[in-house]
Amino acid sequence: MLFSENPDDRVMIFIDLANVQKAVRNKENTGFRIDYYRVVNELAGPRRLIGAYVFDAVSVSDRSTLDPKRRLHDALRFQGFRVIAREVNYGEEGEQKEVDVALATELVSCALRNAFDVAILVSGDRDFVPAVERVRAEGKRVEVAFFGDVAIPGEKSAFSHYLQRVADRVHNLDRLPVLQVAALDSEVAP
Amino acid sequence: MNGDKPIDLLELARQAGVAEAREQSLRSRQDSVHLITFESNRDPGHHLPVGRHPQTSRVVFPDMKRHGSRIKAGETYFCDLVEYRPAVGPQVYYANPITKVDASYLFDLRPDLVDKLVEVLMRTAQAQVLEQARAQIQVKLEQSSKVQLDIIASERDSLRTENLTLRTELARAASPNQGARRPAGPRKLSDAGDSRLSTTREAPRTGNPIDDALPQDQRLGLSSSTGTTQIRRPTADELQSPLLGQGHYFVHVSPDREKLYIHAHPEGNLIAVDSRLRIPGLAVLRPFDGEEDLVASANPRVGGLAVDLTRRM
Repeated sequence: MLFSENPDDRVMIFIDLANVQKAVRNKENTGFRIDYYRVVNELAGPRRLIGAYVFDAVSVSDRSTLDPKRRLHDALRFQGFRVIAREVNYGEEGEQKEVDVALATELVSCALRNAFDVAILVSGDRDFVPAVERVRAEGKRVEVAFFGDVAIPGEKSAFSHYLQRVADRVHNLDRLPVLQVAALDSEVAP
Repeated sequence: MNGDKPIDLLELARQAGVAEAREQSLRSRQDSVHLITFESNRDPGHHLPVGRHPQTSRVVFPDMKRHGSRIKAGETYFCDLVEYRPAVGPQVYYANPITKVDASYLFDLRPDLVDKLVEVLMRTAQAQVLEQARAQIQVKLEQSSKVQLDIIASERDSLRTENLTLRTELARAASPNQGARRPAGPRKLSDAGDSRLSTTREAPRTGNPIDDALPQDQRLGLSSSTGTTQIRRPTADELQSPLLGQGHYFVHVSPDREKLYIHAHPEGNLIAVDSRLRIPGLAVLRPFDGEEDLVASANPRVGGLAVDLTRRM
């Protein structure tokens, strides 16, 4: 690496939850669930973690507390994550809206406010490339983290190579202990 | 014609003598007149003001038998001095005032102009007083600031020392030969920032990386410093080791299924009993074809054990 991990660096982590869950789905169904707390700690390392954002969407039609997504969001909030859930009407194709733009906006605005020294984007979506470039232009370091060997059937590699190229550093989540062994089947995340 | 009149040499000598006498009188008068400033007499028991002769520096007293009673301390006069040589002691002078020297004398000013002059002088004096006060205040401020700066500098030095100590301990904890243990307690992201500080609360190190990576109450006092140990897999979903004391554990696995990480935590969802830890799904990670010994090493980053699922002892 051309740089060292400075313990004084302020790290802020931005997680595109839907993108991560989509990639890890085939790994979790074997009795392991992704541990976002561990993800954040592994990525931050010895540096100063000052905040971790989770961006996701929830359906406006289902406001039940039994909604698995809302339960997951509450669990993450309890652990200290800042969960930003956009309430959207899922379209006929089940696509979420506004989430990527919300993440990119927060990423850039935090950089402009000098809220961090290092931003770690947990996503493999190429849509974030302009935001990453803008943040780097502000003199901030941007690291991206995703599952390196994930290839969703019928789709291209989930970890955009272009996103990896524009980032200062790439973390391969496949090599980090981020899957937690569930004690019971009921513990497996939705 | 004058030439017809005879010259009276006696009359001529008389006229010349008068002129010379007048000149001598004026010269002697000029020698006896001086400008004297009188001050209070500092000698105890003497209340008359005194001055000094400008040439001989001898004491000048007011001539109280003539007009000297007008003279007061702090006043300046043109005086006619009379020398007095006592039989015993140094010579002194007695002064008779001629003209008092004050502002009106010096400038020949009208009373209103004198008032203005006094006002200007007062203002100048005030400016001088303010200047002196400013200098004194500046000196005092510099002294107090210096004291405060010294205090701040000492605090800065102590903080630097403390920071250096923490960094040293952090580097030691992060080195692969010495494990670090995560602090116990609820899993909150805010705890992550305490990991550096937690190194100061760690239990004493044994020199064995695996032992150091475990909680103090679970240490076995191993002397090996190779950094690896073996961990038995008696059944498909169980691991057994004396390092696994009774308690709660978190177990994580890397998505590439090559490493299994075990670390003790009060809120861990898996429980070890009799040095056996049941890990659901272990058979999925590594097929079980009989009892085997796996290679484990200390995981200094989070504390605990890292089990290599790709090889056996």
